[in-house]
Amino acid sequence: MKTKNGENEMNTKVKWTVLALCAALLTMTGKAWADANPANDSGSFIIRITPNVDLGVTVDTSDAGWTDGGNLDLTADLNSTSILNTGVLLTVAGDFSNQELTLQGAANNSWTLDADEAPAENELRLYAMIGLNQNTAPAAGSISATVENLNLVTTSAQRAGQNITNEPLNNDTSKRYEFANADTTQFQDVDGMAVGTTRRLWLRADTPPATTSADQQTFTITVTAVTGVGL
Amino acid sequence: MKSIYAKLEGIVRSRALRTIAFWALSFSALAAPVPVLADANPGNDSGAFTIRLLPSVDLGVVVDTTGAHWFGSADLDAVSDMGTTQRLETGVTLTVTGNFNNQELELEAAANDTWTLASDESDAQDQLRLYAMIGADQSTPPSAALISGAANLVTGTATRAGQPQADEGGDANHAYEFSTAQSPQYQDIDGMVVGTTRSLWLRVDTPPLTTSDEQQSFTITVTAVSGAGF
Repeated sequence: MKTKNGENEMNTKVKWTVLALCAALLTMTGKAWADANPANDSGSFIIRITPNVDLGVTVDTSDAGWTDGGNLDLTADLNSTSILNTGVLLTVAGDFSNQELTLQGAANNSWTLDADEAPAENELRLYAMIGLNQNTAPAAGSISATVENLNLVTTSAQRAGQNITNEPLNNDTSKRYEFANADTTQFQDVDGMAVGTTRRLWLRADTPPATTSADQQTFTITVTAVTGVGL
Repeated sequence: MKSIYAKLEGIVRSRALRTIAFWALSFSALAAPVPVLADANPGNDSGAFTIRLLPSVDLGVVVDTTGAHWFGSADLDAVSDMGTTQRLETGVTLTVTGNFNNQELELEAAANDTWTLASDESDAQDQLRLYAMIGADQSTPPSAALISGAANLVTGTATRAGQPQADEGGDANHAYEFSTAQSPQYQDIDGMVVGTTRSLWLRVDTPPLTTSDEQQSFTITVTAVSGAGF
């Protein structure tokens, strides 16, 4: 748009154009230099750090009990079901934030641990579930074998949770010691847990229909932290 | 009317006279001062032109990891607890090569696995803090405290070692460079000439927490760059 000072504006534009051209020419001729052999300008090397990680779990039974205010000792009729009124508190420890847990039981006296759900003399069916750290005990129906006796604690260490194939699917396929997703009071994922994660371990004990011993039977339950990488 | 003889005599005399006159004038000309010539347009008496030679210089650095190793390790592989510090006991030797006597170095690193490289000094899960210092080519490893500070973190961005040109005479704004008073580690790493040797020292701080227990590798690249104007 032509203005009163149009001529001056034009001169200014010309000056700026000339300055820009000069700057461009200086850039083209003054500073550039070539490197005859760029291939030897750099060298690389690799360092490798293998993390010496620490896995861990703290098992806290301080408030756990079969009855309100009770503890983990129980007097039970034969062929009866008992469920923890307050669960055992589990806390993931160490410095490795992809941990999972295995459960293993050991029978210390004359009774044995059942590996199927068929009632048998002197066999205790010991079920376990791990879920949200809260104090509402699950129903007996929530602590039972679903398929393949997945929730029985046996003398073989069994990993809690799902295999890595099913983990991202957010489904209930092949869960072991883990509540169904829809059980919102109890469910919380037990795969790939970070340090500091807390969970509650719930137990259900089904005594045998018959026994040959009237003595107290003790069972040791071992919770072990294991890596969740690839599992 | 003159006879032919007379005419011939006149011709001979006139030639003789002209010859005499010629030589006389010639001698007089030789004896006289050289006349000064004027130039009506001196502006076009000369011409100039410029040739420009662009040096096709060669920058270079040789990175020699022979013998370089962490404390407690035989080489550049280490097994490390979480939340701990490792440092080299023997540094990596760097030698400036090529034909350009004003070279500086850049450091850059790449994380090849699941851990990443920290760009600040705060602790974070799965982040490695990788520090570097370049100094005199000697065998006394610097303490961990001498290999620290956010300016000395090696990241995914190539960063020039040394000081900005404005600070090169002083002791401020070092990157990957020891304080000038630090003996025996300090040696200037700005504007290095061909054949200069330096030692590269590394320190790694493992993260307090990790989601992977697998080996983590990191590639460190040292690149020679021009120190002109930097």
